Amino acid sequence: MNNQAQHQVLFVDDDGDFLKTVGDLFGTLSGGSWQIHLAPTTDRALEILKEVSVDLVVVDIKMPVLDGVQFVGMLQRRYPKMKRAMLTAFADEEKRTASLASGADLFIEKPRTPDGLKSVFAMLGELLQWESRDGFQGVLRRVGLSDVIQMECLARNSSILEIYNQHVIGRVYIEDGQLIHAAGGDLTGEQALQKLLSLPGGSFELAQFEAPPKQTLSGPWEFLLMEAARVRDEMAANGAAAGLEVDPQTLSAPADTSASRLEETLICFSSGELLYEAQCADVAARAGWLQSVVDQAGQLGGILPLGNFERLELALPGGRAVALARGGRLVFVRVSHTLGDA
Amino acid sequence: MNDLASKWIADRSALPGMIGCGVSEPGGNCLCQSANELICPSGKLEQILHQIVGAKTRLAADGVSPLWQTWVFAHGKIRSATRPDGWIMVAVVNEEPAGAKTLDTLTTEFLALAPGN
Repeated sequence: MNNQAQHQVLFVDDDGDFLKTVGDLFGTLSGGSWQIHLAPTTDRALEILKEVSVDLVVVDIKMPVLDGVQFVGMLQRRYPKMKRAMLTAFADEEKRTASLASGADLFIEKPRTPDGLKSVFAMLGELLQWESRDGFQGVLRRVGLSDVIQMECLARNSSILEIYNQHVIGRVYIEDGQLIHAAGGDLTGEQALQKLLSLPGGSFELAQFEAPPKQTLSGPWEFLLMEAARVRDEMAANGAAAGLEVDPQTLSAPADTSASRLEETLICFSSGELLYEAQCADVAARAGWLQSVVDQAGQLGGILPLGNFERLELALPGGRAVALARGGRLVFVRVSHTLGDA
Repeated sequence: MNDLASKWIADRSALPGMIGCGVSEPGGNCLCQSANELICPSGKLEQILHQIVGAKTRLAADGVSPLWQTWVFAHGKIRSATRPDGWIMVAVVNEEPAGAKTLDTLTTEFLALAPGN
């Protein structure tokens, strides 16, 4: 037993080599401040948890018998104050959502390089530094704000998502599962939401819902998140080229003079059962087309292993459209550009 | 495949984030250039190109005729763009931001190119 250890950290993974690597490396990196426990099975992990008051458990998703997601769910019920992180060799949206829903505080892709392991060590160290507060907390890295917003909306919750570093820099208001207001810096509405979701780092916390000073967001939350994802990708591309970044203190960024008008929206189950529709001329045809997009994505993914299909973006004359499939639902949104955009 | 198209595509394989790209002329002939034959052999790029041409036909049948389309996957993106003269470009990049920039650069260049001349 290391008397200098400030934190008890348990790693659960059936990969013995990986356990040995993190045991050696993280022990060294922590300078002895972490007492590291290694468990090749969930049974062994439970034995250790009976003997030691563990501060942080890090679980591999792919475990025999009881998989990591189920195991973390069980740990959340038995040890609610213990911090929980999940590791996976192949991160995708489905695993991330399942991990967060099961109670993981952090979702991390397994690193393949020594530098990657050091990054994981830093992230886990950050997680260990979190102070216990009421409500939900997270770190904006692998665990995205979008994930939290999706879960709140799907659960039809009412809450305020506060994004901060040293000070609160933005708020997203969710009422009965709908995004109703976003504010950050001088921005409000969609621009604020898009900028907040583009932040490269920071922390967030879900606070109790209070009515916002005004309502600046409307329409399906799926569309708002998809549009934010598109803007984030564009900002990342443009920022990489021009050295532009969002200032996380002020959310300042070049003014966006373009505006979009929602022309068509369809949300349905994969079976074609309609969930939401607005201005869709032929619902059955559009649902069929969405299913064909999913089929074609599967065929493309079969040719080249690029991971899970996320969305199809279409540049149309005078507008754009996005199609995506997630959680058994198909979504299509088409917008037209109305101002300042060629 | 004419010299202009061949040279254009050969010069693009080293762009940031690039996995591979290819062009198809209206007659169906195509030329593909992989940035790394181990990761993405040219043969697979041709398969993707043919798949995209088929998808474009189905999109058109449904009244959707995009200037370009991007299939976004967890670890990469596939962009296709169609010129009014029928030439089609396909580019595959990794998920890094530089790859997204490469797609936009390639698309702009391709739409301004005159490979049929």
